[in-house]
Amino acid sequence: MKKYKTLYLLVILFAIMGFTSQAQDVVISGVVVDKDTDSSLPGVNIVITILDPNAEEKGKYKMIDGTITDAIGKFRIKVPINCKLKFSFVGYIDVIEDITVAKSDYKIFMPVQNNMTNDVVIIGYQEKRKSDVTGSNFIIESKDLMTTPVQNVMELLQGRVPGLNIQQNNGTPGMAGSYVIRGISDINTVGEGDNMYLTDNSPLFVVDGFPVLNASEYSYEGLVAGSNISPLSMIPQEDIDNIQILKDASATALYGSAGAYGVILINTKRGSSLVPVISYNGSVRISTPPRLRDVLAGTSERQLRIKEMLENEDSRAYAELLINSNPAFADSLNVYYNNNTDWQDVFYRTTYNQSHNLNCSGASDVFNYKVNLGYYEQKGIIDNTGFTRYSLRTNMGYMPNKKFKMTANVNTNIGINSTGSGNALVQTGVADGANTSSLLPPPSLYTASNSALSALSVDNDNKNLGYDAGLNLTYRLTDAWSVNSTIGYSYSNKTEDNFVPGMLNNEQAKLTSNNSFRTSVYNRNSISWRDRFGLFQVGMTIQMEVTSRKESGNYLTLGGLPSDKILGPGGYVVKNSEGQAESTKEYKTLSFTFAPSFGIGSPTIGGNKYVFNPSIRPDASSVSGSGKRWTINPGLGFRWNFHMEPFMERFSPVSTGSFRISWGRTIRQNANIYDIYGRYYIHDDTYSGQSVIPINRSSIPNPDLEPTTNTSWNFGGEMGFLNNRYRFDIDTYYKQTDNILKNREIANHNGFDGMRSTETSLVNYGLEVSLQARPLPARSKLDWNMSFNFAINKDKLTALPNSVRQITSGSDNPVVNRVGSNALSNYLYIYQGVYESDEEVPVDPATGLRYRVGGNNTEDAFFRAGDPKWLDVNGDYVLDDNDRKIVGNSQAQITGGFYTSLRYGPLTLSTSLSFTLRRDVINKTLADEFRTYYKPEDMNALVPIDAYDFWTPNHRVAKYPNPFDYKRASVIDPFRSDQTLFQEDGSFLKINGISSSYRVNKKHLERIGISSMTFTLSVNNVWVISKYSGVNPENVNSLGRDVSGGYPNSRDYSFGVNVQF
Amino acid sequence: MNNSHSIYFRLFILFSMSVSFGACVDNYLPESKDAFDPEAGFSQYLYTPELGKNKLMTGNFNPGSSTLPFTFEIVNLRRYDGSEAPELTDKFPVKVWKTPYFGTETSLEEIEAKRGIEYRQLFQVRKHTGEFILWENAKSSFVRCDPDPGYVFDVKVENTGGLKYYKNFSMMPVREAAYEPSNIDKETGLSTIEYVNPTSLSMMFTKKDKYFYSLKPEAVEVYFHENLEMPDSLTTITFRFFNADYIPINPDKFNTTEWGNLVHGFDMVKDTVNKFVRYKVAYPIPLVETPTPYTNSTGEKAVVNFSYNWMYYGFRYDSKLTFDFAIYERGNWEISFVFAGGDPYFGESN
Repeated sequence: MKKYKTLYLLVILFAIMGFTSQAQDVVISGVVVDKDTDSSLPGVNIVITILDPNAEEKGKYKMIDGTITDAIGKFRIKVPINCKLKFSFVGYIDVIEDITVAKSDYKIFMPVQNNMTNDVVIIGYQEKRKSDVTGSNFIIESKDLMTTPVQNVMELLQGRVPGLNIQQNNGTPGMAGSYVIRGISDINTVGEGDNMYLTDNSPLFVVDGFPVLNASEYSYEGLVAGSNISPLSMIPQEDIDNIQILKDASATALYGSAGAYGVILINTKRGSSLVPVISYNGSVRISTPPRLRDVLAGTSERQLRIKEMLENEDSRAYAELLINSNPAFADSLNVYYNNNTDWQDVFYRTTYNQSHNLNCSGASDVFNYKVNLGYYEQKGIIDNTGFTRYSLRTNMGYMPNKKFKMTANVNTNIGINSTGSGNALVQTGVADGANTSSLLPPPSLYTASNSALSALSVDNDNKNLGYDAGLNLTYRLTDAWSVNSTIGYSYSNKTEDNFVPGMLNNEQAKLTSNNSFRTSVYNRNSISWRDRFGLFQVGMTIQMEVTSRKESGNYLTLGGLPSDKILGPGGYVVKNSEGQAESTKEYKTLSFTFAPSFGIGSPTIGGNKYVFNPSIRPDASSVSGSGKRWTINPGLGFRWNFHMEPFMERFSPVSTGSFRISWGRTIRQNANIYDIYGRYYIHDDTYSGQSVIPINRSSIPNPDLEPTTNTSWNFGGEMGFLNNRYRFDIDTYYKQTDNILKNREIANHNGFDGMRSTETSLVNYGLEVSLQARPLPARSKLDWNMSFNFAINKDKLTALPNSVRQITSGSDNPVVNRVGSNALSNYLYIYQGVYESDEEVPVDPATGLRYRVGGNNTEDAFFRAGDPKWLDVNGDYVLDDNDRKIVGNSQAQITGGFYTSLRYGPLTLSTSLSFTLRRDVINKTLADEFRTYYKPEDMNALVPIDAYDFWTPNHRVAKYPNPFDYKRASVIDPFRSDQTLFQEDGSFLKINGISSSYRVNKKHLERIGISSMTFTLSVNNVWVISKYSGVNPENVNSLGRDVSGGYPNSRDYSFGVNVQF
Repeated sequence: MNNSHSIYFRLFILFSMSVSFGACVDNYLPESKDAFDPEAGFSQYLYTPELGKNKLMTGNFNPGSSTLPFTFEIVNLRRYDGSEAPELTDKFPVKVWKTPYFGTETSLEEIEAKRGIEYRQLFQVRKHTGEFILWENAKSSFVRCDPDPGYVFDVKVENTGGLKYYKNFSMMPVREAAYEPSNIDKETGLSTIEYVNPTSLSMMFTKKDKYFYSLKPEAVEVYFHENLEMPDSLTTITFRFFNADYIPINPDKFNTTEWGNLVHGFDMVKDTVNKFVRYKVAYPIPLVETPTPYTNSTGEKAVVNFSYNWMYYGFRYDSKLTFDFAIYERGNWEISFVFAGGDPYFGESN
């Protein structure tokens, strides 16, 4: 009986085994190594596939299980015999191994992916092999980026991509810097004086196939880069898989109605591992303010003020009167007398921040998914400012069979930020507040500095709520034909509440509320056909794209609230309150693309030897002028992969080589329908109790407006040596931007102030060079990756409205646009030193009068010893606006960077540097520091200027004029910022970041169920090396002005941990 | 080895092609030229400067939105009848300021050292502003002046963006006055009245038959005349005072006058015998139209104050004669104050 029992048991056991697996299972083990270096590869994804018995087609495999290699590259797995193991790892070519016998010493050699020939890139929403790309593009994988935690992943691209000029010029948490591809495309300025900015020149960002605009139409400061929370700041860096930068028009041609300024594709991660991976990234950061400026404090400040007044006032008696009338100077018993307040300390602070990110993903051959949950916090280094992001990003892909593929993503995010009393770009209140005399008592409920109090107690609350969803369906009819449809919807809402307590506003508490929302619907349908006839490959894509965007907003001010605590609903003072609803702006575009492609293959190696890509895209838009509704945008690209030519076989070190030539045209809609059709508005006044609806006379309707057009040529070459260990890329380009929207002045008898015109043209041309190297021999234990790139860009204005050659905009410190030279020049007085003595002042031979400042007929206007020697350009012995000269270029001409990464075992160390050369910066901050001496009786901070070489009666040969002659300062204004004295070379070399990481040995982790763990230590924004005399030549606005109200960039020290389960 | 060489050579070719591509692009783009606004132009075509002093005609050109500076040139300067005008096109020695005059100079030599002689055409345009200058050497003796229709000229204006001729400007100079206030008729050059009056009198009285009468400026006659007996090498100014009977008054009678700071002159001679005060001065007076201690508040005229005080029954009176004047012609000028309307009363002791 016992014998039978055993037999039965065995039968049952075999039966169960038979049900669970049809083949015999064996345990195999082995190691995965790099084919070149023979070093083991940890974390390689291994998938077991077996023949699918249910499949209609024969020979189809299905995925049944998988694992990953451990820290030393070893794997051990139970597999059925006669299965296939697929090994895949980022940066390597997939290897498929047939398992026929159970062995324990499998050694899998994985070859490094030859980046050039097999990488798949996405051009015009279609996947293409990189060797088939005719335009200029650059792809960067997230693993090649620094592991420094940043709020906006674009920060990490600084200095990495030739031709992409990134300037971190705005340290406000949540805001973005400026991103310009191949030089500026728009020369318009917004605002006046210190608040003058260049309009947005950002490229189009396409996140997972859906276009995103960086600057919002409805923002307080207008269309300025970085003027509100950047949509890019809403994507956690941990969720990014790769970023692709498309530079020339042929590459961006298919991005149509917004691609004229370049396109940046951001692809987020997708599930790829069969084993579900949960990974956690967390970091703590210390953000420190940069070196603050020195100020005179306490007694030394008081003494200097008294001395300045005594020495420079008209009479000693009056000077004493001034001193004695101010208790802070004279009354030792006064509470204002004995102070020594560090105002900068009141505003600037070191903050401690954290971020957490949890990513779950998984994949099988029919389904993949990813869920990314993020939290990021950045408290501003200026008090009362900050940014917090909560994000949830999900996507999934479903491929029930080979023909059908569906991907869907749903993202939500909330960004909360506070800009205190400033706005997204400047902190003028803080600048004023921090610029308060140390003699004033520190802030409390009572304070002597209103701007200081407002910077600290204004309650500013911005919420950005974003939601977007997208669905992408692909159906492959045959191998040649496929149909694709993409639908996306996004909604974003921005509210900004600003509360000013009563004591700051004449006892009238004030609440301002801005509310704006934007919805956009995006739909793209395409049908494409691609086939190969022998050596020839022919394809055709027809695409239809519809975009619709609606923006609306309203604005509400309630003045005189019942109290600081009761904000409504009633009780406010009606005459101090107002509300305004912005009418809804609507943009609609419809475009069709016909993009044929031709390729000629090489008989020897796979891939095309000659690639020829023509395309044509007719575009229609609701915001093009009625006479110019359709624009035709053609593109042409040609590529010759000459390494496939037989004659190249002799040059064995050359592994890849190609030439590219492309030409194309793209557009961007910058006008709105009001520019074309005019606008009525409801006037404040009424007529007989009826509201008046007049026409808006600021701009005459112009039905001939055309979209901004970018036509570009690109010549490129790529070469790889020694199996691509050294790579050399060079691109030259010519980019012509026509139909730039700009205001044109018209004669005032037209009844309108001006009109919008598209007569402005600009040309950018330049050279981009990139070198990548892995110089150490393949078998070295130390892995060293380095890359260097630089780009030279020259811009030249070629046309202005009404065929004029020069336009000056702005009054305080104007910008000049001049045809034939760089688009944005400064318009400055030429500073030539200081008058050492009165005799040195030039004298008008005709009248005998000395050179003087115009517009003032007093004796003070004549220049004297110690005054600045400004060039009298027209020789009339009067300094006025006619004596300005066009000098300098506010845009950087050479940018580039250097990146190096070292890996030795579990340790990695990487550094990224970037540089900007040949850029002129106006150091307005320094000018303002000197200007603090203009009014010694005013309670502003005095900056020590001993370090500067300025004129005094005993030191006459000096670099800077006499700062103490404050009686005449209002007439002469010796430290005006619009002079060449303060125009400096803003070239800099910046160490963007240093990051080191350590991967914990897996042996120690297995017990606690962790598959990998990495610690990261990094410093961001490490050091700026520059001859510039100000704090930071990068932290200047888009017109190259270093304005004292700018938000400084913080230096961040961070410690992070990455854990995978 | 050969192969790799040729590769580098190819690379070099590629690189230099790229660089030269950038260089040649410039040739096909617009040049950086100045803007010349078609609306730019002169706002004044008729000029009537006064001869005998440096006359600057300003504010006459509106550049619009052009790139500055322009270059201006007077062309085709001719007399109204079309004949040549060598008197304005030939070069003359002109005295110009080289270093600034402050009014604090302590000697005639110091002042003269600040001026120098330059050879210039008498009618010029400032090269980059379009302002016209008529130098002081232009005198009615050889330059045509009102009522003659004067001169006609054109102006060439250019910058790198363009060139334009502005035509038919006319200049009708006005006859010079050697001094101000002037008693000379501008059109005929003849004097209509022999004298001018001082600017103001303050607390000045004349005593007639025990009664005091207040003196008005009209009661004082001021005569300008050149002392031709003195050598040409000297430039002086002399003040003399006479009563109604042309009997000289001793300058010491003006007992509170600041003789040392009366004019910006040096080596004062106060002759109490011949009864005059004389200074060595530089001409013109004032030297520069800028406020100094020797000029009025605007600096346009020199100002002299002759003052005295006197007692009368226990009251002290401060009396003053103020005279604003200018002398444009170099020479040995004498200014005589004749109290034609009654002798000033200087007090009992005087």
